[in-house]
Amino acid sequence: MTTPNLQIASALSVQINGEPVQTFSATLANLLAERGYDATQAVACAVNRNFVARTLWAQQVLQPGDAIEVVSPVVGG
Amino acid sequence: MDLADMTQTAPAAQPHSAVLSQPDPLLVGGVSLHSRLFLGTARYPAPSVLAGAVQAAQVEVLTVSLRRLAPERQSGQAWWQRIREMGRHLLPNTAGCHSAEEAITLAQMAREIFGTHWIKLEVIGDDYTLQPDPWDTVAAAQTLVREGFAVFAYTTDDLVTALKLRDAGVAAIMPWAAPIGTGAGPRNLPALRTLRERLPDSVLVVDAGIGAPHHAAQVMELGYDAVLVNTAVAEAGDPVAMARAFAHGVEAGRLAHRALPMREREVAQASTPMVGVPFWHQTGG
Repeated sequence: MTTPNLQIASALSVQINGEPVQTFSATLANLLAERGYDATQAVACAVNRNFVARTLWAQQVLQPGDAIEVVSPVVGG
Repeated sequence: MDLADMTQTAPAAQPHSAVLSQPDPLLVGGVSLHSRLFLGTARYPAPSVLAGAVQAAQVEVLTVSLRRLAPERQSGQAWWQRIREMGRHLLPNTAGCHSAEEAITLAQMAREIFGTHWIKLEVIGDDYTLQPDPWDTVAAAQTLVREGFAVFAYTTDDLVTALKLRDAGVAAIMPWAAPIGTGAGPRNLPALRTLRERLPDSVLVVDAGIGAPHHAAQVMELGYDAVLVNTAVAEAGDPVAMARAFAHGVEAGRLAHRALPMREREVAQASTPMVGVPFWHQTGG
């Protein structure tokens, strides 16, 4: 298996938490870093409503139109 | 023993009580709990107040949730650190989900973040009443149980939905007393009683709508295994004291259930002995 390139030639349009975003990142891990997320914090991700485990962020290749959710702990009832 | 004997000085020893002498742990989700009061973590005036409430009520289970994170808000995770330091069992919820698919994905995210296979499954079917969607709740429960989750399923007091959740193999069934955040107390006690009678072997936890400690005592007297409270504690004038009050309410109800309450009667029956009533058949002078 080849490791995906970290950067791609043309910008991809994706969504993060419902907001449209243009990115040159090839993978979910790169995108999170590019957007300023601290991977050491308590954060979990889903792409197109499918859970992506933290161990797979670097292998999750972004596709045009991907809808990415980034969540963290909050208070709850 | 006649009346005269009862006036003698009572011995110092505790009278025997099978109920009081037996431990009464709650076994749920693979753990044994002493406290039957689960506490939500939302709406407190400050994190220190929540910590005080947890301490005052000796709470062992705290509910938490997940929400979208913006990178600039990552410093807000100090709260999360504080919750972790409390060392309690965490019960993440899927609040806000409107389909089985959303709830399953959020449960998977919660399992990774919180490091627990417990999930409080909430699938909302109506935004106005926050009434759960029974179809998607049951469907999500079936999938999550297969994936190894201990599912605590939020539901109404509908019996058939509860039976389906039991058949799905959930860890606990959590019927509402009244809609979330209303504090209205049990709106349909006969329905809650029926659930308890028809599901004698399931863990039943009343979730939502509890407004005061006597509501908690009331459902515990019916034989419910635990109560989950959030708003009634968090929005009290003194949440720490109210948490303690709820702990007492839950304990009182539980003890009363185990002590087997008397049967209700239709007509009066004097509790004071009738033999030797003064002035009995004495004609007026």
